[in-house]
Amino acid sequence: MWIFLRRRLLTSAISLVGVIIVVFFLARLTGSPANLYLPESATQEQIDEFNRLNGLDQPLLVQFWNFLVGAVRLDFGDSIWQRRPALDVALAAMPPTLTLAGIALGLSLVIAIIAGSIAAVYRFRFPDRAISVTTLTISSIPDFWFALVGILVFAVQLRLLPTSGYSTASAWILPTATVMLAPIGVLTQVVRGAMIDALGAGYVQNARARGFGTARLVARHALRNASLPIVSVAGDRAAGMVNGSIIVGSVFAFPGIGTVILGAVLNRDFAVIQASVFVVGVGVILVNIAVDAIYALIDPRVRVGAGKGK
Amino acid sequence: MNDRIRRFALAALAVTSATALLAGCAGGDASGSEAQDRSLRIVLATEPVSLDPCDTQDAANAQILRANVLESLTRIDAQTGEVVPLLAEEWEASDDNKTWTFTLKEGVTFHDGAVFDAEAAATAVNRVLNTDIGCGNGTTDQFPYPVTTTVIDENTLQLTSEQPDGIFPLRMTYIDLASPNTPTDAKTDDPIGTGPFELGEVVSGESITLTPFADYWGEAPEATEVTYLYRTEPTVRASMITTGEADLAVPISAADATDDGLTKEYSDNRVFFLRTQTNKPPFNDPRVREAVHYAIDRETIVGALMERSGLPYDQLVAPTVNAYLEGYEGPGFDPDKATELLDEAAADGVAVDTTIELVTRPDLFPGSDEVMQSIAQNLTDVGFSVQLRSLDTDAWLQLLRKPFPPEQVPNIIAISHDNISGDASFTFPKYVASTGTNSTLENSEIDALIAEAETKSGDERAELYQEASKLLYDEEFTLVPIALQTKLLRLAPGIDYEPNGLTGVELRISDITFTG
Amino acid sequence: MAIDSKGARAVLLPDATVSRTGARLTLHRLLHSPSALISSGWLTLLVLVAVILPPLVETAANRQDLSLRLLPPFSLDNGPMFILGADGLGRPELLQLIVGTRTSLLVAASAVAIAAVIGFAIGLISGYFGGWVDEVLMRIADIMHTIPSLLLALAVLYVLQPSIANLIIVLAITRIPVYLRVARAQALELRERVFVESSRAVGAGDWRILRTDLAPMVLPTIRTVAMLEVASVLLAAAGLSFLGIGLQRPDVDWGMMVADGRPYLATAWWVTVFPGLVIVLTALAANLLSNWLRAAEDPSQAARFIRRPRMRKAAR
Repeated sequence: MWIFLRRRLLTSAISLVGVIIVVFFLARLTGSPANLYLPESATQEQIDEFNRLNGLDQPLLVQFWNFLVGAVRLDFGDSIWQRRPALDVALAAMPPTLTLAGIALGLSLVIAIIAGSIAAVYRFRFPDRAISVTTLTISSIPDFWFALVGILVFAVQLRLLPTSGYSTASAWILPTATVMLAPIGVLTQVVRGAMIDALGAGYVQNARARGFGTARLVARHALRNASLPIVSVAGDRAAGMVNGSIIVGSVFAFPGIGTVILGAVLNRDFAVIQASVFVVGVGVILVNIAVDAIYALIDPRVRVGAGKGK
Repeated sequence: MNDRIRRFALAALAVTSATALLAGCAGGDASGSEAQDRSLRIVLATEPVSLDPCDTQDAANAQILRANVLESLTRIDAQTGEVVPLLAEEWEASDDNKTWTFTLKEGVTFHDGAVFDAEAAATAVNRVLNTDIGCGNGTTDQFPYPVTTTVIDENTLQLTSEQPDGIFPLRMTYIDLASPNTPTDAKTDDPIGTGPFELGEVVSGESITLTPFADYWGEAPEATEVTYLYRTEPTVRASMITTGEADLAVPISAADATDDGLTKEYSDNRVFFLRTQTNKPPFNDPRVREAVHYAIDRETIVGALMERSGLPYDQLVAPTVNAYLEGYEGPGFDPDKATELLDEAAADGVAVDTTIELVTRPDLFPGSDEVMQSIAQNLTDVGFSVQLRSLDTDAWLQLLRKPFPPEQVPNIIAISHDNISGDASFTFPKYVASTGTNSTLENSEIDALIAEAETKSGDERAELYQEASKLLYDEEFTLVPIALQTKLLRLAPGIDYEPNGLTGVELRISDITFTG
Repeated sequence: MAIDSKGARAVLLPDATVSRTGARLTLHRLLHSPSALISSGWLTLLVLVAVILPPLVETAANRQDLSLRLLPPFSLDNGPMFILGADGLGRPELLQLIVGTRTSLLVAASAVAIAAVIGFAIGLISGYFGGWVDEVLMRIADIMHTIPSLLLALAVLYVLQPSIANLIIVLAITRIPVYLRVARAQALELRERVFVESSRAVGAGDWRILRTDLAPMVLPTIRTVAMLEVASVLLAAAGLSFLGIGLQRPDVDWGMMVADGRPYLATAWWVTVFPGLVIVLTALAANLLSNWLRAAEDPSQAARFIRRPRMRKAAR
């Protein structure tokens, strides 16, 4: 297990370094921030001065070296826009994102496990079809459209929920629902597929022969067996939720890393882009490692194959 | 068309003065019922970027801080457009318009208890003008010439401009005065001013709260607490009024306007215009530029798409700015004439079929994308070959500003420019003079008029600018005005506020009254 | 919807154990599955519309008429092309949808195809050869997976100009890791199989084994994933339009129509609802068809799947 973990951490670190290198150059492809931060009539001297103050006048490779030296000490420089350490900006945005992602993923999983199990038990019959069509329809709705219509219906027409915000519990309902749209379809399908396999397995058939009821069978035996793919797809969706929170941020003013990245990209705030992607990258790696750990707990065989990586 | 604008301006003036009277009465009532909880929730489009007193040039920062937390020596009277005293009692200019002596108000203290005197004022002015901390205020836009400060006595401050400056008191409205305890070697996120409110809780990404300052020198405002919220989507802002989540939403889009008297219009002296590239073929031929004027159906486009958020317009500056030409009417909509002009130019060998980029950005103003698509169709209809390009702000700025590299595709760029000062020097040197960073025009006659105007003041200054305007409109056709923009805000029942030309940059809480 | 991890393997793997199913059998099954039939019918209709109609209606579709601004739907007063109403500039909604169909399908199909081909090829190589090749390629996949797609979109659309081709490139690049992982996982498993060993024993080279033994086995899974991905690419393109970094007019796709109708949500529902509905229906059809394909080609499931029709036949 420890060898496995160490190896995972090492390969992850390599990926992370790769990511921040790519992001460094990608961000600089989008142009210089000088135009955005200086008045429309700024002179060339002012632009030069701005670039000098922000270290943008140096050759790209020198900037890159400075960035790397700082990054090793977790110093990503200051946000050109907010004038505070970029890492602080990125870290401050993580708690809402993680909470939202956690709640949304948890709820999606509960719904997917119930719906997917029912679909598997009644496979190819009406409940299965109804569940598949419903969950896939939900996942086919454009999230920003759902968010805006949700505000119109639940906040403006029915007055049940606030339009936006973050500080009250009811304000979390629409953002959570929006983020849940995409994962519900795929998770339900994965649960269904895994459960069909599990229900067909020998020992489950045995249990059935011994007279276990279907519900008990599903909950006790099949679910455990089906949990491997469910966990890994769920982990994958968790990583994807960081990107998904951009829409939620822009419609509901829900603070989060998605909003920070969007703002930083539009404001050419290179330091914040780099710090945010770094923080997200660390998050993704931790989720992946957690998934592998859960894997190993559920299925001891994984440990044997650990040497092969992945 | 011109009548409509004048009527609009007059109506706005009448309404504002009437409310000013009413507000006066309401103010009297309020003092009777003291202990009432009168908190306000204001929803804005964007979070302020910086809370530093020297960054209030940015509208998002200014709308919260200016006149509420921070005050300046002078301010613009929103009703008359004149420069009036705020923290200064009065001022006096030397004969050469270089040295300006300000007498300061007495009995004013900062939120941190520091006394406001000439020394404090000098420190604050120097922090904005003469430090290296990258202030948004005090740029060459606002202060083209270096300024030195001299403390004469406790209540007298002398400011000296290196060059004669006829509108120096107006420029001083841009300098919000911070407490002398504010660091002068770095930016701060704790603005300490002399305004009626102090900064309360700041939750990054969520809200800013202001609380009343007990020792305020002037009349106490009605509101007992103000909370600012930010929502990017205009529809969400407007919805928050409907659901009672906010008391004032600003700005909202025309599609969300209501007819219940709670949606109010205000002008921030903003003009939406197009700039052709006078220095590039085919626009180096004036007939092609004139054709652009004739091609665009302002009345229909502005009437149908901008609705309450704009009026068709023929000039570069709003009626309150001194370069405004009384009674001037533009070329108007005449597609046949436009085609004719293009044909003529083509006959003379001008490559009028060159592909032209019509450049805009999505956030130019709410609904601008549709307006630009309409304009693109108008131009195509008369024979231009137009490619619409909607760029993000940074890319748009690069095309807006000099230099204009020769390999650049000829473009028409959409600009939304505001001038709340009332003086053309915040518009003409930048967009019209040949040295202007955003100007494609080279006209020595106009340059001379602008240069001369800069040294004059009052009517003389206005006349010179108006002459430059005439030349620009009748001969050059470089800039194509489309609409005088109006912004909209929405109030919750029980709240009254009469917006004015400054609302976009100075939302005075003192002007908000409670009727409920 | 994305299945792009080990989990996908568990769900999608059964496919690889089957040899290719005969086309006739597939068609036969299709006729007996109403949802699959309707889905493929809808997709076929869209493809026909996209291929035939746009050149005929493009001019009319982009013709603005402000007097018809936000014309309500279900009225023939202004001719059949206004049956679905008009948008904010008085363009006929129906014709915009038709022209948008071409763009949306082109973008979705091209992005999916490019990503699938590249991901498939790299994944196979990575899984088959293993070792350092695999290590390097997987790290690159990880990097691509972690970079925010928005940043990539903005960088590409800024440096190059926003256009259909560039939109396709952005969407394709961000989706490559999905196929890469699925293909690699299967290749990793298949290379140990007996038939690979026997090919090797008769002297087949690595590339030949990849081409003739592995590729055909992995292909059905890639196809299934690709069908699923059509939906997610459609939604991703719509999201980019919403954030203002999608296509530029006069190009139009469904996502752009929804995004542009945003100011009229409360006053003119038809501007956003019709394109939104088309997106939902198309994504749903692609999803259902993908599900069906997977089931139909898996013998363990297919046996159950075709049970009902057979029994009916027997009864007759």
